[in-house]
Amino acid sequence: MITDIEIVKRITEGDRNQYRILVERYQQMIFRTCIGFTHNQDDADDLVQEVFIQAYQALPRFRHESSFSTWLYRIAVNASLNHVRSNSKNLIFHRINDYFGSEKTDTGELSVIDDGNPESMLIRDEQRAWVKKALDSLPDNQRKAIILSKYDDLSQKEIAAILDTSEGAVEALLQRAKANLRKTLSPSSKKNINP
Amino acid sequence: MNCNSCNNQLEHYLTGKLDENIKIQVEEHLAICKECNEILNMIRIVESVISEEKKIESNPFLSTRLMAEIEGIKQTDKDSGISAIFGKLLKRALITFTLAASLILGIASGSLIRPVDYSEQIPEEIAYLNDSYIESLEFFAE
Repeated sequence: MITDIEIVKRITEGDRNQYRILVERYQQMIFRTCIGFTHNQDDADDLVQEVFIQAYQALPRFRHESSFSTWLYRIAVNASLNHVRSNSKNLIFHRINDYFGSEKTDTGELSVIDDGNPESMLIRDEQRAWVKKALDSLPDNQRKAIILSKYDDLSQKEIAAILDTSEGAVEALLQRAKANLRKTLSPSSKKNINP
Repeated sequence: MNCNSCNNQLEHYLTGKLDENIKIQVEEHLAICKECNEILNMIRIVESVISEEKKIESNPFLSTRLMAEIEGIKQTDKDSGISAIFGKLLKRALITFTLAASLILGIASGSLIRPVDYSEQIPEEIAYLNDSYIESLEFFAE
């Protein structure tokens, strides 16, 4: 299999069609990162496209100081964060929507239910929204670390390279993220805080 | 096993990565601890939500769409050199034209718009006005 370095070299020498190989190789990985931030398929698809275009335009400046995938993940993480920040208007709308929608179905306790019953499905939707909200409310660095770990199954070493930090710092970020998630999702806090 | 040690093992417990000995200890603790059961349930839900989202596939036509977009960028790159020069010239010409047009329009509208009672004829009162008493004839004679 042709390596990323070789493909990048060919593209920068003028064979731009080689970029398709890189797109096909990393498309699903980058999509998983993007959906971790957006929780929406269409938004994630648009973001993947944006990430690959940004990467293509920046390719002449890629200095091979890290692997191509690490570099691409960095672009994806930054683009995703910018996207969710710029969508703050939608977020406010969703919060209002969730606030009014949650009163009827708030059970105050999380449970895995999937029996096809409409009420159970409603509770399940509520739980999904609640978990996504908890992920979104994490501080940026914890959010990046947990998404790269859980959605992309990357090792702490790989995450450290993407976030340009040490493995120890990534471990601490992941622990704090998990503790924050538990705190936000605990039944007592669910009763007191609106999603 | 206490709650803290149990919590630290719950993720591995769910993924089945625990040694048999530790697994038994976790299960013994879970059998008597409601709080740890709630945390286990919570972790299970978080994992299930993430796993659901991970199953979603990206658009299969993305690479084709993307390559078409990149072709567009290449074309724009080629065009941009020529269009940049023409763009600058066009911008200067447009500014000059706009200024000249504004000036002409201003003068034209200034000469067209006059007061309603304006007339180039000398009003009757002035035509018959005897101003001989205003300026003395002796003044001109000197």
